[in-house]
Amino acid sequence: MPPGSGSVERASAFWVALRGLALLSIAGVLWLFLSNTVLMGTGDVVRAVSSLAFWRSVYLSLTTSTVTTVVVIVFGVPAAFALTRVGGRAGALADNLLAIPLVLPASSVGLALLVAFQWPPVLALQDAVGFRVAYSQAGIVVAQLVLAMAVGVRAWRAAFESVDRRQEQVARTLGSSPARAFFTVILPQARHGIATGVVLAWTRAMAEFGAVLILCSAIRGTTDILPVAMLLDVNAGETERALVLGFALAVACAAPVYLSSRGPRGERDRTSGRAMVRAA
Amino acid sequence: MVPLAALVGFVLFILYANGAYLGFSEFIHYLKHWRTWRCFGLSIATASISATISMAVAIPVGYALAHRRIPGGRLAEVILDLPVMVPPAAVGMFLLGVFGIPPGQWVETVLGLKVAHALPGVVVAQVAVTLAFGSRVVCSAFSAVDPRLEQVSRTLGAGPGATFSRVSVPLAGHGLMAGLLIVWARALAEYEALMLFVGAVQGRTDVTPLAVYLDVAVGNLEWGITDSALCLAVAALSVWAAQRLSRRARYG
Repeated sequence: MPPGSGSVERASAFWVALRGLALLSIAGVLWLFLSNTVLMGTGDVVRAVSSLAFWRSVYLSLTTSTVTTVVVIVFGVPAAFALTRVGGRAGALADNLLAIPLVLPASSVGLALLVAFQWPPVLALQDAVGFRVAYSQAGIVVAQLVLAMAVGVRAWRAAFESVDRRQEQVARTLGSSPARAFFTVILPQARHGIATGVVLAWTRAMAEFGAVLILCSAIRGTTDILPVAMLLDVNAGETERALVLGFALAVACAAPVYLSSRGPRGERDRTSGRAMVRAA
Repeated sequence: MVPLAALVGFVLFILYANGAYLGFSEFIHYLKHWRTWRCFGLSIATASISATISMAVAIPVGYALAHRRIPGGRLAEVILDLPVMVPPAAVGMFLLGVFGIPPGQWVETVLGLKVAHALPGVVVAQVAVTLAFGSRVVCSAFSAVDPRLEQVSRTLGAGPGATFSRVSVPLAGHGLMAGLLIVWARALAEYEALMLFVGAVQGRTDVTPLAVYLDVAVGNLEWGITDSALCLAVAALSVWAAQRLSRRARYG
């Protein structure tokens, strides 16, 4: 850009209009999040935070989404790597099948799971093992799994794809086994993208609400993870308590994503940035 | 390979179980029912309005984002990104709060437009959830445009407005269309924010995702599956079209 053109552009009506619109959007977002604080008096916050039910919900949310994330990592990371190696029709088909939960309404996802897990043969299998998925805490994990897995696999796939194939080939020609090449060459290079995927999967599990509501129903004391407790409070007319839960949920989900997206630029930005864009 | 096969197998099993539970004749029966199509039409209409509003704001904001012209710099970008990171359920909760106190309340008391627990609320919630996401998609579409072409347009005497409408938008066209489709599909599938802000009211706010919830609530799972199948078909179609468009955007 030639020197001086910046000041000319800044004065142009076009950019003034664009910046005005951007400012309006920013104001809108701030209004959405901050005006609600007016509704909550300090008394409400203190009362909500000092209640046992609040912490039980926080604890349930944290434990279920952590269990979910562990399962997602165990299956999702190798699956994502396999996806980068399965080319052609089969790969595309697998990719699209795994992305279905992302484009379907959460209520449909929950219903599909409910029907599948209440199917007589599957029900018999569950009774043989000794627990039932529907209307239980195990169901929370299952519902979160489906959504978090879809997000994680997409992010990890992008992370693996951003690693240069030639370095792996060099490692192979130098005599390392495929497994060794994976653990010593590919994994270290994709680590930032993988970490981003873990954060995204965990926050998606925390945020999960729609599918849980259908598969597990909203049962106080059993399935009331943060968003479910929020709905129960709204339905009971306890708007202030629901808002406190809403803010807790918003912070729990936005803070990790924000923190993982900042930091030194460069290599970290490249792999984790791609992972983030792909997952969104 | 084994984990991938396990995941694909799980998804196929879910789909199969649902198909087996529903059965073909039931599927046709509910597919022919007028309520299915009323809800679906309501979904299409609200999602189309929401996607139009979202993109009308997201295109200029996304352009400003791509050119790093947002006043306030990094902090402003983070604020604009917040609705993507915050769970839709929490967004729905905050909307409920915003429209319960002035000045949000004036929309209802002064303008007489009922938002919460009514159809306009569906659009408001869909816009709130898709707007930030749309800006991000638009930003990446504009970022793919070679900045030199825009600079050449400027040196040839076109103003920033003309450069935007005659160079940047046509070049990013396919990407923008893909973005519109994705935003539309997402508005169509929105459920969590609606559940808190609007609630599922039979015959009033029952867009398809909420109709599925109502079906489950009264125990009519077959109808819910039929509605879901409809959603799956539309989602598959729009994602397929969006993928084709963005591939064309990449290879010209």
